[in-house]
Amino acid sequence: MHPSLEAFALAAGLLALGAALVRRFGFPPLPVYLLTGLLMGHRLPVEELEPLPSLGLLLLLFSVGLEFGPDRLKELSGRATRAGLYDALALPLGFLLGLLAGLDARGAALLAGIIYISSSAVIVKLIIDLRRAANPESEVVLGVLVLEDLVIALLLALLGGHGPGGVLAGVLLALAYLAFARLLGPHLVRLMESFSDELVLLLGAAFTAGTALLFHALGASEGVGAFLSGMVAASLGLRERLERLFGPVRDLGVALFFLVVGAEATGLLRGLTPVGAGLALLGLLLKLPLNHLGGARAGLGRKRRLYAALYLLPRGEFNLVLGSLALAQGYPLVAQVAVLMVLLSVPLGALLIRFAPEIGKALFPPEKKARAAAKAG
Amino acid sequence: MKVEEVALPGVGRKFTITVASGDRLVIVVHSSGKRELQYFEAGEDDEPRAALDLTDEEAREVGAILAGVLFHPEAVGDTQSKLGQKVIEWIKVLPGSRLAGKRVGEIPCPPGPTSWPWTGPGRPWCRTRGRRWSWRWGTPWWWRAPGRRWKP
Repeated sequence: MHPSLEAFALAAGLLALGAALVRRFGFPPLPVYLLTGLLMGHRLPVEELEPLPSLGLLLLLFSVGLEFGPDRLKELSGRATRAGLYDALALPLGFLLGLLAGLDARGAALLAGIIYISSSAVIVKLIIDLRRAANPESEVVLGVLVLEDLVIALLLALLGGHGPGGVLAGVLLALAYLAFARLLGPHLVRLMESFSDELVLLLGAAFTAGTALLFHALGASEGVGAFLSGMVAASLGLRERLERLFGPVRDLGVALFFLVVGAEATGLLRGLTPVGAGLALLGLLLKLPLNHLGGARAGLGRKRRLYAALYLLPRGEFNLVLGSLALAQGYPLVAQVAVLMVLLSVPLGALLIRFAPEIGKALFPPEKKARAAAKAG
Repeated sequence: MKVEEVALPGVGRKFTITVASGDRLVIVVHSSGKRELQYFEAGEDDEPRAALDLTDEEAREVGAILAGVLFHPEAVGDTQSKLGQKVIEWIKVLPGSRLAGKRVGEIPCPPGPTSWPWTGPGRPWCRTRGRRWSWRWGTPWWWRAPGRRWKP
């Protein structure tokens, strides 16, 4: 028997137990995966789980690219764009914060990205699990996420390369992929329609992993590769089909990935300085007023703009990509901030989003009472 | 009646239907097939009065009942619901086609459960089955416009 079987059985069992526990309380399972890893990580042989967690991250980035690709920009309402512009102010502010913390320009740019990017995967999952999709703030939040993901993909393409050669290669390769999708797309769409589901699944997996590998070989970030292949697949009209086919595989991989992140965080955070902790907290707080303002500009009501600000709290996949990039480029402080922000914001964000209606009620009760009184009178 | 349609990336599409009384029905069609319904009373923006989740199958059943497929109310008469039962899809009509430059009403597409293929490669043909008809049926796959086939 291969030792990975034991590790997998243990990990899947623990995750299932955690998910079942929180389900009783109507709570989303994602933060539990992270906490399970944090608590049980030292007992779990997490290395044995590879390659499932890494594959989970790639598939996660792939499906983010699939759903949040540039073709969504056309469907974006003006309200969401306005909110997204306010949200983007987090980039220069984060950059300044990085410079103040004594980082050089590259490190500060990485920190700015980490502070700026909310996790579309976590937020979408929270919105679906908590049945908030019909609410007006969800529309604005998802629009903001479209903009964030595109900006961060650009940032990753610029920062991910090793030296100017890697950057140039990454950008050129990205352009080549987009041109390929544009030119050959219409022909491939018709071909793909006749393919069986299994073939599409295998082709998609090969395409995603191959693209990530190609980007890595050229010295660019493999995360961008996976994101880009999702974008290309979406432009080939395969969005719904791939989402349906990849969904279960991705969810399993993502659950294990978050478990491993939790397990490995303890080692990374051992040398955490007060500066790192302060930066993480400041980064989380920084976006709240910006998003609140953005929500106001998007025409949301008092409560709804508060919800929108809370929704955009969780950081996730791109933080970890940026964090591992920062670690590879010699900025351990930035990597620590990235991981700490994920660890803090996913459970905290889930909690706040879950109880957002209660918070809103507690903060803005008078209007409601007045209306009820008016109705009764 | 006013219908607004918004894309919710990662979730699906949201339709906000405001009826004459000012009440609103928000329908979210998830990519997974689930439908989420929320009902807001006129003037009430904060909390929905009622919410309902439907599976894909249930939603189709409800939709069919609403469209009067299972029971067509006599009081409404025939004329008003006719358009609602036609399925219209937008397709590109090639310059040489018989349909080019014609209004929908001028196109000879007789009612009744018959299908009338217009022969010739690349020509769209229409067929009528019961009360539903669509130009798309029978259009060869290589001729169909890629991407969006339905335009509201």
